[in-house]
Amino acid sequence: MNNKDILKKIKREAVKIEPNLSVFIHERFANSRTKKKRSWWTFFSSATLVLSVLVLGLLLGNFSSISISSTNQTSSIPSTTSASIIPSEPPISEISLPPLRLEGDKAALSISTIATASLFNNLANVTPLQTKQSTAFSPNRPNFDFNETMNLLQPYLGMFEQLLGRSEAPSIVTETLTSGVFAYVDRFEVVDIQGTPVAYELYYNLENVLEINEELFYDLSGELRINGGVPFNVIGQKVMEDDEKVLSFKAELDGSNYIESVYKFEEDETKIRIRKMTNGILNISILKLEVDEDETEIKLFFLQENDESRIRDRFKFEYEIEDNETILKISFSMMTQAGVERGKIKVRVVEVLDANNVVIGYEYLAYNLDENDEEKDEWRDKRDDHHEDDDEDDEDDEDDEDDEDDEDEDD
Amino acid sequence: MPAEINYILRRIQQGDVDAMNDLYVLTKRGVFSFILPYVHDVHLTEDIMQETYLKVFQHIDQFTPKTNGLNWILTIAKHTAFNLIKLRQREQSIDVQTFQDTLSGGYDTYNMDSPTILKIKEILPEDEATIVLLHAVGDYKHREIASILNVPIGTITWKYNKAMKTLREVLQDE
Repeated sequence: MNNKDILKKIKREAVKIEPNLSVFIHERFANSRTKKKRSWWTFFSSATLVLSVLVLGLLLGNFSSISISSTNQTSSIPSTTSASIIPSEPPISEISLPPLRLEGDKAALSISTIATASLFNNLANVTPLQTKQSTAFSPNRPNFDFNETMNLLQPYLGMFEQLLGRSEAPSIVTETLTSGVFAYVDRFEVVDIQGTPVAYELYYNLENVLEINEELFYDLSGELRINGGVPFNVIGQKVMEDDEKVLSFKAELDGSNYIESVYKFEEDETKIRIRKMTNGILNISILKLEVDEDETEIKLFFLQENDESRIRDRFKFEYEIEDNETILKISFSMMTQAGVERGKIKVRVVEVLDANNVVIGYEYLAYNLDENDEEKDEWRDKRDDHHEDDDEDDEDDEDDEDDEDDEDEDD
Repeated sequence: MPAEINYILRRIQQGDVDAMNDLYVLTKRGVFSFILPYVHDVHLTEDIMQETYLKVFQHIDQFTPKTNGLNWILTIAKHTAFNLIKLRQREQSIDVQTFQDTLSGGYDTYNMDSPTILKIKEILPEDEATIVLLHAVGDYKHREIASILNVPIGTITWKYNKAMKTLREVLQDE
């Protein structure tokens, strides 16, 4: 018996037992039309993460397009005394929508693996990002180190870039393994801000799989390899906690070096709590993606080391287009030895000359909330353009206060 | 075919009632052959298919046009199969082991006059059985199966050839 005969035989048998559901399909479809409409918001809730990633993609996609438009903005970039910042060529090509193929859990896992690479770049064979202070930067703040602030934010910006800095959505290929200790491997690749591919391989087993309301809950254990580097041990699980879906993912080298991310999916926001332990030093942050009717906000909070219920520093990220150039605006409120420092930083992608090498990095311009408009709009003034954003600044301040209340309540 | 399925799904999203029937005609073989390796009871298969298409309709807004429509339907089918198998097991007071155990043969099989398909279930690993049935019953090409199962085409071809070799040897002896 050859292949053709076998296939024919299977087909004949299958046709005999194939259910005929046409009538049922037609009747039930017509009857359930109204039910579908009622369940729209239920769908919205269950797809929060996908939507969050989608909107995050749009926002970060805009941010990433800085590099594209900056090519045309050569003359508008402020001159620098050190010539350390030079006009950029686009490091990243056209930005498309985020990975639509990713379902919620996969999206969360891919964010976690990318977070691991970005926040542990020294261990994960990933080139860290460079930042460069703009010469237009001149806040009068003797007690506040903006460089330190940017160093703190840099890995997170890198994480955003890695998630969306690519010409097309990354596709996660899940393969079922027939040998070895793991049953599955998820593979995907993203391009970092330097244009260098970063390859992720997550080998894992799933255990204790349960299904509740059509959703799978499980324990996951495995191994994460980034660019074929040293493997991180990985454990994760998806559970229901107080009617909330919670997905946690921990990648660790040892007890003193790990990153744990915990996702909570709510109707209009996704909250990711990231615990980063480096050489025994714990750093806890919360990344919030809030989806409103037509906009999304990204907020990042760093919590107090000795009291996780209190916020130490807060950042709010917004993306704005100024003369076809996308600028990331960061509003911040930080706890310093001198008290609470508040202000704004504008960031854009440029090429940075570092030790005779040209690399892609961030140029940032900082200004105080109470400084005058001329200083605030330094970059825009150079392009002979002007927009009013005072009202927005005020709104940001109010939002920051709200965030503080929210977080305290949440925790 | 994937583009056609996506087009029909978009029509359903827009409220075209007749499109549901078109979707069924176009995908029933694929859904049927996908479910088949999991269950060998005609009535259960029928129930799973009914539930699957009902859920496709109920959750049609969740479908995003840039994704693989058939893959989306089959994911629903698989989850539905999990649920119904578990429910039936409970009804029959059979100990629930893991889902993997269930899918790989935990559910008792009967009422199916299909010796070759039973043989496939018996001797082939689940993934190979799925590939063979999607190809033989669903008429899908390897490239399409790769897309449906989200597995590289090389893996599909390799597993298909391995499965067919096994089947040839077993059926030859009979």
